[in-house]
Amino acid sequence: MNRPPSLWLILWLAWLVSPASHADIILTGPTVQPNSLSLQVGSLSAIDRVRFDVSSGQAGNGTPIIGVPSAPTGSQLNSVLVRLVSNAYGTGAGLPPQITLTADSSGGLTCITTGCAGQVLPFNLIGWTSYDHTLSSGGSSASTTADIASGRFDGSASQRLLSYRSGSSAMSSATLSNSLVFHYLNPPRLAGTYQGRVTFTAVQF
Amino acid sequence: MPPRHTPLTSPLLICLWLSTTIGQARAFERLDDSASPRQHIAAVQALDENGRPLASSLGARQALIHYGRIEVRLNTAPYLGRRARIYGVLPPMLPGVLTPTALRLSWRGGRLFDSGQLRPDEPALVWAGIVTTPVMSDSLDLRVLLDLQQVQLQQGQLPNAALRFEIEVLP
Repeated sequence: MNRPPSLWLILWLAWLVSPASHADIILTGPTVQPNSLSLQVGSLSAIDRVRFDVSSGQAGNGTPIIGVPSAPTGSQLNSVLVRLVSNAYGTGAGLPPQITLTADSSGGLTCITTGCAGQVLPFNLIGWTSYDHTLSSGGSSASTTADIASGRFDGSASQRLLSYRSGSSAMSSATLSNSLVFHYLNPPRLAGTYQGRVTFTAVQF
Repeated sequence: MPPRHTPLTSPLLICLWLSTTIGQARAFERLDDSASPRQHIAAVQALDENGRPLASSLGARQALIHYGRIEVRLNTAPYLGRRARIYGVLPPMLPGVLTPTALRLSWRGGRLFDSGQLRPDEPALVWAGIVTTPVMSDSLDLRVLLDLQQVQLQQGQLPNAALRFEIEVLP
């Protein structure tokens, strides 16, 4: 329908003479605590060691050797606790923050005795079995990738062990608590004593 | 055979339609509430769905925010002697509120205004009658219920709610 031009003019004038707008009453949303994330691997206040003792009879026969932690902290015998607590607030594009846990094993295992001087073993000779797969979440859904799966180190600087989006609430929380039992794959290798460090990093974004 | 319109009938039809359109456009007018003592209201208390303080609640799904009793003063001078209805209104889109069902504002009226509740873009009746005073003033006890699974934080804050009042003048 073609409206006559005079109609638009009159409507526009009507808008001009309508009462002026005034400020709304703003009910201010409360401030919430900032996001937080904590990660515990092994003891709370120390760097734990996991020792793999390979006897001469076992050396290189392919039978995995269970590691013995300096401070057993997990729920299983010889296990290491990995605990992650997230208090995540939904920001950004409608999704709560994502939590990623990575391991850096790029340094390898360096020989520390004279018999193997100069040798560096890759960390992919060490794996783990993961227990206690029950991530508790304050959000509405828990992903199947919420727990650390059993596996082994890949020798990279950022091996992804976990990637998890903590529910769908604007104020989500999640607690991961897995116990890892490490083992040495025990392939044919030179004798000696080797030592290396793996660093775990959790990021929430 | 149907009668044919003569050229004189067309202007008459247009004017009637125009009159109706303007009448609808003026049915709801925003009320001047600038005389209200406070324009920005901070929360008095914020709890989760279990009655625990929201600030220390992990994984809360709902937030019940209490703003206390605030005084509202509406300039009704232009409508003296007119029969009218006054509505509380939230805009259809509030930053951080993903769906209209995520937020519900409720209030308890005082000596003048009715109690009620509303959601974004769902006006709720606050008062009805003949306007007899140039300023209508009352206190409202305000609460906001937020579904935390349908909101986003705005720079570390839960979303604001912008309340305004509109008047419908009745014939």
